Amino acid sequence: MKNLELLAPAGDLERLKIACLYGADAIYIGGQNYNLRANALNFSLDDIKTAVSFAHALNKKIYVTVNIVFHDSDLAGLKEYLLKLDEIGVDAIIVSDVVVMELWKNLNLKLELHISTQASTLNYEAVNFYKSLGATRVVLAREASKEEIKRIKDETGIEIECFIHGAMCTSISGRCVLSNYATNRDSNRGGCAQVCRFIFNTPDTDEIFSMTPKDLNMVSHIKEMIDIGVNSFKVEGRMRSIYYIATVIYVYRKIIDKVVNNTLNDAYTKYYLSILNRCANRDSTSQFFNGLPGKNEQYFLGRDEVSNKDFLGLVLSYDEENNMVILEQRNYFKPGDVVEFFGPKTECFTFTIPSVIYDEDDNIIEVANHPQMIVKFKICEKLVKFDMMRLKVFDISQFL
Amino acid sequence: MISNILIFVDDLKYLSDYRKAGVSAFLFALEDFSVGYKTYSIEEINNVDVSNKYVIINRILTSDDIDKLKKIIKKFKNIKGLVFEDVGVYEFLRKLDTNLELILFQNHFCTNSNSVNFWLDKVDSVFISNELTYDEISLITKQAKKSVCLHLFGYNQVMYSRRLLLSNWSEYFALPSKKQNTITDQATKVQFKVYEDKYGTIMYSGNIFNGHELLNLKNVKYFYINTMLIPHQRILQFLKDLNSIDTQNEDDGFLHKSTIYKLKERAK
Repeated sequence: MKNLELLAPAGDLERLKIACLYGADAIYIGGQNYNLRANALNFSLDDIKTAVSFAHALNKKIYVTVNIVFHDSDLAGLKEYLLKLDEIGVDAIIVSDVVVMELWKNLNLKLELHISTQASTLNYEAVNFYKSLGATRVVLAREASKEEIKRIKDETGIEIECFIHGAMCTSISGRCVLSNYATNRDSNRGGCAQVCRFIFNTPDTDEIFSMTPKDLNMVSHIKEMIDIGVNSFKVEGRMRSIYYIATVIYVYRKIIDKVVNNTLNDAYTKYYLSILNRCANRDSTSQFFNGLPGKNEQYFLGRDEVSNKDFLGLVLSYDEENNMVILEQRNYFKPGDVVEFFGPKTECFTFTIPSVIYDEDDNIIEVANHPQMIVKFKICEKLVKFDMMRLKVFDISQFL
Repeated sequence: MISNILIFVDDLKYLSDYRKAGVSAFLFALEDFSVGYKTYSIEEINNVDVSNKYVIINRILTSDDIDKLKKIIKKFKNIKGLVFEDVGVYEFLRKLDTNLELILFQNHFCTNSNSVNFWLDKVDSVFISNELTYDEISLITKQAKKSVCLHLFGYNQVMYSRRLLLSNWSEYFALPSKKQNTITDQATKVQFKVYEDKYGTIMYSGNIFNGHELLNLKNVKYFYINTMLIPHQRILQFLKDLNSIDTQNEDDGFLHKSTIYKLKERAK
């Protein structure tokens, strides 16, 4: 079978562990400098070391984004940083500025060089250029169609990484400095204020509007992507919640495995699509994969991003002697609620919250209504740490 | 009038005005390979009788585009050089025996001396980003191995999308189709010019960038004037007096306004 990789984002160590456990083959992270999420928590060098140890123990890879467009003042410390990443055992860096590519070559680093989507690569000659510099992988521009991806793969043979899920830029990534002009925040150095999602007007009408693209969602096209030679399937969202990461990675892991095993059918595709759309709480489309997106692939007005309350609890432990789960509450639930559990090794199953539930001190409670309170109740199915409990919304039987 | 002005030709009828004003290098956007510019067919460009004639190819190109470009390049006549955005253009041209001058013009990239010098080992010149401060640009010009190109006057390109944003917008709101418009961010009141053609949408700054103080810098191959969307009379006035500024509609961009990217920097 082809070498296929599900690549997850992580903004901190907790998210990284969740991504690893829920089925990612590799995780991309940002250090505290030189990455395009300058205002995220990000990873210190010690965190990166921990991340590499954790991931490598599970036979998974860690990629570090070093993908800002550097000003002269940003170059101080870059060489030492790259040497340190190499020493720690990071598997690859993801870069867009040639200054990093050249430094990587001059330092003769062991870690691999991946070209970021910020480099806006859409043709085989551009890939050949990056190959000549030593790159082993290119993250294609999100504007690439199915035919364009296939052509590049066929012509170059390089490892191809494509985004499969998450937020999209209105622009070609890297080719936008709206943020610089509207907010003085440098988008290509990690300060993007997402100005394309702001509200605009024009002089010739009273209508107000945004230019926000709907999210990318490739659930229905994973098989085609595998067939045309995509190697790495990348999920966007280093600043997303653990529930989002767990859900998205869990779903795409299932889909990729089912494609490989030839067991994916329409019912499962629709079921997974419904789960993902509800998790992100946004509409999603395949954007450029099958042609140029039009008005239906954008939001213009009236998009209220009110998060749902589906994520009910994170399993902390399971007492096998007493068949008791101990979990940390994330949203309100009560006895009688129909929920489902899912986890890295736990096949999704439906469950009704029993009539008796307890708090941390074994007091019986009527509802679990305090954020992050510890809740216990009896459940015969064995659960493990990092399993999750969510509101039951969809059932595969609806889609059969 | 200084000798190293490169001007974008937005209308062939203005060529004689530019020549009379002392401009000696001219930039033409090639049909099907440029976006956000008034374009010309290769035959039209070939027929223009000027000596320093450059072609700009600023689209992010697909593999099919690259194949077409390889054929069109063979039709170039009396063209001095190629100004390009996509590194794929460099990759195939380096393997050809061409006398074309190559000038890299990657919007928003080429923001540090090392990257600029990396490219200057491969091409004849490089456009320096226009989101830099005067001091940053000055440092790059001093450290550059060869002379570089600087933006001097014109609307700055701010965003490039493959989407047809104006068409989508007018279709959604059932409004008459427009290929140019001005939009205003309601929160900041910052304006952007929007220009769409069949290859995508370019957004330009709301104000014209006037970088006349850059004229003091050395090691500059060309100072670039982008005439797109600017009244011809204002272009002629600027060519007559390069130090002139229309304070109502023009500013100096980021020359004296350093951008930030970590929010705590703003809090300082």
